[in-house]
Amino acid sequence: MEESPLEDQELLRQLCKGNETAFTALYERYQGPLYRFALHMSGNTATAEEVTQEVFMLLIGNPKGYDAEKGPMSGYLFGIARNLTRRVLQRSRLDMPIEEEWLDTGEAGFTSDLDVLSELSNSELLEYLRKAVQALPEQYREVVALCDLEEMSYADAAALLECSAGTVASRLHRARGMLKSRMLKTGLSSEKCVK
Amino acid sequence: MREIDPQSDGPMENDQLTQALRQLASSSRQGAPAAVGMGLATAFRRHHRRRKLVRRLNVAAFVGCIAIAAGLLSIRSPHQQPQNQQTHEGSGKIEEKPAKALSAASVAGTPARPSAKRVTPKAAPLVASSVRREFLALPGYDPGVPAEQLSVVRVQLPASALWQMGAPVSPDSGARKFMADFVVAQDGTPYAVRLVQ
Repeated sequence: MEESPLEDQELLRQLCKGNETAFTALYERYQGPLYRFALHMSGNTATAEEVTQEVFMLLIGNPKGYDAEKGPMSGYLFGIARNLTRRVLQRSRLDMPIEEEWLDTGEAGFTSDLDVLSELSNSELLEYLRKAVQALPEQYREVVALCDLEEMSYADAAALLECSAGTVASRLHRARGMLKSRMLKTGLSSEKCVK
Repeated sequence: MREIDPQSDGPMENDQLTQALRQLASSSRQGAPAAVGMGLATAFRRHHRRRKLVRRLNVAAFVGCIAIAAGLLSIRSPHQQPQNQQTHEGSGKIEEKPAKALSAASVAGTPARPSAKRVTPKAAPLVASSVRREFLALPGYDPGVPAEQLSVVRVQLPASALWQMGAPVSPDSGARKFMADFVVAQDGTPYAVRLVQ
């Protein structure tokens, strides 16, 4: 995600004045990453849509809520998306069951019949990786979604998650370890995923 | 932007996982549905239309308040204007007060002047310019007396004498003489005075 803070600020200034083109430009720039972040975090397209919509509704309602001195626009928007996603997850209690559900059904299915695995297509393997990501505990899922899937730098992720870059790296390391072990448990090595 | 995790224990496996995650990221490059964007654009337009309306209403209310305030001021001003004029004239014709003082003194039958109470500015002219060319009614003026019974008499008197009669001259002038026209009745009562000089 390429960021140009000055351009973002100019777009935001125009947005404040009611310039719809500026709003559209900002929306086009950030809606994808925000939507995907919410989708990776929740595993639910409806939640991702709701979160994306809410983020931009807040931006429309209070464009001056963003302070350029506190960080980039992306960090501000991701921060809102993160809070909204967490709220939705808490409300719908989707957080806990995903891991259990997937581990139960997944492990049972794949350890019992390894021949089926070789028949799985690459997209199916990616689907399992996606589910493995969604099954991670929230704090690890966040760093994977931000740093691995949205290619955000450790520093930006640290600013967004309000922790140090070292903590982000540590969490990411732990998250990858969990993913690897989970894939191995299910018989799906990451090698297969990328073949 | 991607950073290599320095803490990875298995470089190859970690690299493979990174590739897998990258593939996962590229496979899910979708964004929010177009309907979300359209809905937000509509919300944006509605929001700013409402903002503009509120701003216009605020401006209209502000203008209305100013108009009301101006109206109230214009209603009050006719009452205030005479007061202002009186005040202005009072400061200009500083010598009108002796006439009233004289009338009060003559009614009471005491010819003494309230000179101690009088405060005359040093820079004040000897004769108020605005009263030089017009008759000033004296305390003895009776509006019921017909005009044909009145006559004008020109006299030259010291300033102190004129001041005692109620003429608009400064008492500081002392013995300096002034030419004045008096409107007198048939019995000699002075009704009005006008300074000629």
